[in-house]
Amino acid sequence: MWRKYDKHSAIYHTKSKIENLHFSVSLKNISSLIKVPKFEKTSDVQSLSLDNDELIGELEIKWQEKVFSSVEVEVYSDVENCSNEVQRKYHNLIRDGENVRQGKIFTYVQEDNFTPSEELLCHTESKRSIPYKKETPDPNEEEVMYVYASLSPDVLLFEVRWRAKEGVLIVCPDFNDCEDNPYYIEIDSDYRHLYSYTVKNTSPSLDMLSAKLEKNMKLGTRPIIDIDRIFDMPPKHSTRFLVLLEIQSASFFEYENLHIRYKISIPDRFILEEGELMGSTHSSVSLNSIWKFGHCFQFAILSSTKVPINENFTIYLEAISIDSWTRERPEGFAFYTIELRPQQIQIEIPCFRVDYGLLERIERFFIGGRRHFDLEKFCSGNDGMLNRYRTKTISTGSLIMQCQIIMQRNDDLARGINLDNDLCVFNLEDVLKKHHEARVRLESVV
Amino acid sequence: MAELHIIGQIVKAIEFEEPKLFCKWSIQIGSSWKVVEGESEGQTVTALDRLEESSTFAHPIDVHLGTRGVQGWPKIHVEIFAVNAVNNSWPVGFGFIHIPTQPGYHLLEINTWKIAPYTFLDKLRERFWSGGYTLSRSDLIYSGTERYKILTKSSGKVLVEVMLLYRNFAKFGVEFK
Repeated sequence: MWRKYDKHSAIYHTKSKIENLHFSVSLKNISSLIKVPKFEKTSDVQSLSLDNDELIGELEIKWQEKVFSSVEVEVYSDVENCSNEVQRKYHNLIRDGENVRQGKIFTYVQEDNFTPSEELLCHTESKRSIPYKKETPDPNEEEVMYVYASLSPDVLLFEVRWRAKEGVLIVCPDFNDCEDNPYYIEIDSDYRHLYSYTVKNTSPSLDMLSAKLEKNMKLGTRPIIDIDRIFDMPPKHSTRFLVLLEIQSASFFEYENLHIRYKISIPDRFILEEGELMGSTHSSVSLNSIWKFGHCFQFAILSSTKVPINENFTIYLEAISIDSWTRERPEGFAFYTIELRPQQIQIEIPCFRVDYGLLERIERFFIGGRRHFDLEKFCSGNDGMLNRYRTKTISTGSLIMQCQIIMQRNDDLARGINLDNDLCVFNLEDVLKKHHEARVRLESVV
Repeated sequence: MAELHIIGQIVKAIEFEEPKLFCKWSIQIGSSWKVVEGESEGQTVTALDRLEESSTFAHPIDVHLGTRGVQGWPKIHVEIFAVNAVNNSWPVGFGFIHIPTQPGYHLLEINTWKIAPYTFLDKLRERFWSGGYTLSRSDLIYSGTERYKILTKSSGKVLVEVMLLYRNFAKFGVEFK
């Protein structure tokens, strides 16, 4: 019936001052979808108008010009509602009643520190999103301005971004023509309301070059993705630990062809993010009675708590030798509990073996005799295993391990402590913003 | 993006049975890491010491790494090869070590191992420095579920000196010791 034109962003490059930017926005209510000429009993050709649409508002706006909505006028006319400098300035303006523009079409300027819930700029010509910072941009880098229509609800019509440093102007949607490609708005409330609007560039002296035409303009918009800020962070208020372990060597064991099997138990509140919690080293033959493994492995775990204190993980180790007749002999068991905090330690873990008596020793010599032994249960003692005094153990060899732990927190306040000035400022702003929001909330209640 | 500079040298290989050695090295990194600048792998000269049981390489390492996450922490991987009188070479040491999580100077000792000779003839061949075993697939050095089936023999040590510079890690909430 009628073609719905996609809204595209457009990038322009200009060397003129941005203050020269003028544009006009006109909004129409569409009463009928089909354009039929009205037939009136008159011979005047002029009255055969094709345009059935009713003009709601037309406005010529300058760059960063504040136009108030009726709601804003109502809110700001009461000084009680004004909590910051800008709002007080608006209050004074409205009170004095001079140069106050107000209408169906209104604007939000840079000073308002406004962030729309849905942003238009996501749709570019190739339907790929323009990569730009989601965070509040630095006003020195980018200034924004939004044009809204106070329909019910308020609808974002036009968005302009200006990057002074690069001389780049990003508009969304692009300037259009009311005849060729008007933009449509559909609002389903009691019945379907249809509106159309156009945005015209009426700047008298602003030389604008479409960035499409200039190849090097693309370079100008390139550094918008701030690679410095890309980093895999743990979810908000949780902590990630990266544990790097290395089984370096073993010594004083009895038989050759030794390998170490390991198993790691992590606290209940942690989840394994990457890596494996069990494995084995390769079998090794000693050199100068030292078995060198140099076996490195790493795993990452994530805790749900903000600052995990006194959390440990335990590594259970089992040394096994396999000879040429594939007889498996237990050479030793060991365990070690390591606290989860940033650290770098080298540990020597002594191993023990359970001594079952003479028969077992004969068995061990002739057929190997490795049996299943629940080391975790034996060491933890949680499962009602209180009595161990009849269990005889023999000390065997020892293992040398290295453990390094890295902690990563996603907590703004914790990061602020790191004396990074930028972040401190960012935090302060954050705190002030929160304070302001809370105050507004309080005022609305009282 | 956080950055890590690894500046240092592969100093020497010690306690190896074979006298004439060279070393192939590489820096192994996870998928969130990438090499920004510098060589992340290389090969040293063949070195031999007539007095001590060591081969001095003094091979420089200078790598600049960038990362988007802490997972996949970098490791140094070394492979020591022996060279005999008729210029045959075979691996006599595989080794790994994690890059320390602390900035500054570190002297790393990498324990290495080689594939153990299986038959009597192999042992004899190795004894007279005329060849040894290698792995059919190079990924077996660091992966594999049943690793205990790889029969190895302990070999010498490789000494590596590194100076580490960390940048921007604190900004992303990463804490070292």
